[in-house]
Amino acid sequence: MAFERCSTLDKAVAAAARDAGWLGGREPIVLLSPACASYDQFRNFEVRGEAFRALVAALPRARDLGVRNAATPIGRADRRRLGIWAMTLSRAERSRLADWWFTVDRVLLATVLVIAGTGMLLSLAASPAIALKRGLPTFYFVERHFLCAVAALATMGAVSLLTPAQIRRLGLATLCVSFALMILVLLTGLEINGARRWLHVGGYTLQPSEFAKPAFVLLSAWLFAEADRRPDMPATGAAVALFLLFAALLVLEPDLGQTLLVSLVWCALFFVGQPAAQMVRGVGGGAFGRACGGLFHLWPRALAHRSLPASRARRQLSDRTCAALFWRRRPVRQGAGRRHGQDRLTGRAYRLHLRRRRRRIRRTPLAS
Amino acid sequence: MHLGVAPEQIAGALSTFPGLPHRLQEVGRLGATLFINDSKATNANSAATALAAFPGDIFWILGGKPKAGGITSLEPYFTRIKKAFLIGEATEEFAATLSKQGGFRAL
Repeated sequence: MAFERCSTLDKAVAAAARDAGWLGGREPIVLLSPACASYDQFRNFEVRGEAFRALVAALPRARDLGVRNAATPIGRADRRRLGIWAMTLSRAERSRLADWWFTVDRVLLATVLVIAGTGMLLSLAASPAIALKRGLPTFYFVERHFLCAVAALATMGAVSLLTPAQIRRLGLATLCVSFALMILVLLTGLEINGARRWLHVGGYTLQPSEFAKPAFVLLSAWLFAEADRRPDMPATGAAVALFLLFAALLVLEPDLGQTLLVSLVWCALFFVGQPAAQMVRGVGGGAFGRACGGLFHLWPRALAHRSLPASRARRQLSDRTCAALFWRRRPVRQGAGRRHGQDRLTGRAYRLHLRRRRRRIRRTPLAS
Repeated sequence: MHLGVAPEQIAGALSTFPGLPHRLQEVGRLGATLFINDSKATNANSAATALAAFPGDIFWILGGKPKAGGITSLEPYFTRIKKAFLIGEATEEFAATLSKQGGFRAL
C-alpha cells in the first residue's frame, strides 16, 4: 500500500488533503483513526482530535488546492480578487457547468480560443486562392478547417469535464492504442516521400503518432509527479523507458522532426519535475549544478551561495531563503544570513517583520 | 415498545443524534473530500470500526505511541485505503506492516 512518512499531524493533514484532491474518487475520505495512543505528541486523544479539527479548518480553500467540486461559497470580494468578472455562477451551486467553470484554467482556455480563432481567420484569408488554383470550390479548405476546429473544441470540452484520474486512464488507453497502431504503421503503412507514418482507412489517412503525443506528455508528467511523491515506485525509470520506446517508434518511421519535438518536451518535463532538480543537486553543487541550475530553482541557490562566503552558512540556507534572496525579498527565516550581517531588517521593515511574526504565532494551531 | 417510547420518537432521536466528539466525527468538507476525526481510536480494534465504516477511497492518517500487536489485525481493510500517512513513534513499525502488503495501486 502507498504510504508517506509525515512525522507530525500538520504535515499529514496537508499531504492527505492534497492527495485526496488529486487521487480521490467521487467522495474521498481523510480519516484520522490513529490506532495508537497520543502521548508521544499530544496530551491526550481529545487534544489530538482538536488539533486535527483546527488543521482542517486552516487548510487553504478548495480552489487553491485545485480540488474539483468545490462547494465553498465565495463573496464579491473573493470574486474580484480571483479576477472573476463575467460569469456570476455561485460556488455553492453544484451543477456540472458551475463545477467546470470553477476548475478550468481560464487563461489557458482563452489562449487556446485566441489561437484557434486566429487560425480560422488566416484560413479564410489565405486558403480560397489555393482552392481555386486546384480547381476546388472556393471555401473547400475553410469548410474542412472549421469542421475540424469545432470537433477539436468539442473534444477539448469533453476532456476538461473528466476528473484527473479519468484523464490519466484515458491517456494510458490512448497511448497503448496509438503505440499498437504505430507498430502497425511500420509493418503495413504505405511509404510517402520516404517515410512510413500514415495508416489508410477507407479513403482517409491517419497518423497514429499524433494521437500518441498528448497521451505521452500526460503520462510522462504523471510519472515524474509520482516519482516525487512515491519513492517506492520506479517512476523515473518508467518515464525513461516510455520516452525511449516512443522515440524508437518515431525514428523507425522515420520522423526526425517529431522525435526532436518529443525529446524537447520530455526533457522540459524532466527538469520541471522535482526529482530531476534533486538529481542535479546530488551530482554536485559545483560547476555542473550551477550550469544546469540556471534553468530552474537552483539558480537562486547558486546566487545566494555567491553572496555568502562561509560554507557552513551555505548548507543551512533553505530553498525559501534562497528564493527570497533571488527575488530581492526579505528572507522568511532569519537564519544563517543574519549572522553574517546579511538581510538585517531595520526601522519600519523590522517593525513589520515583528508584527507578521506575532500574527503567525497567533495563527499557528494548538499542539502538533 | 417496552419502555413506552414511540418508534417515531426513536427515529427522530436517532436521526438528530450528532455523534460523539472524536468518534467518527465529521469535521469538515473540502470540495468533495470529507474529513473524519476518529482520534479516540487508540488501538487497532477501534480503528477497524472506522475503516469498516467507509467502503473505499480512504486517506488514512495513523500513528502515535504504538500498542502491542500494531496494525497487523487491520490487514483485511487495507484494500479500502488509497494511501496512509504515518505520524509519531509508530511510523517505522507501521511502515513495515504496510509495505508487506506490496503492490502499487497505480492510476
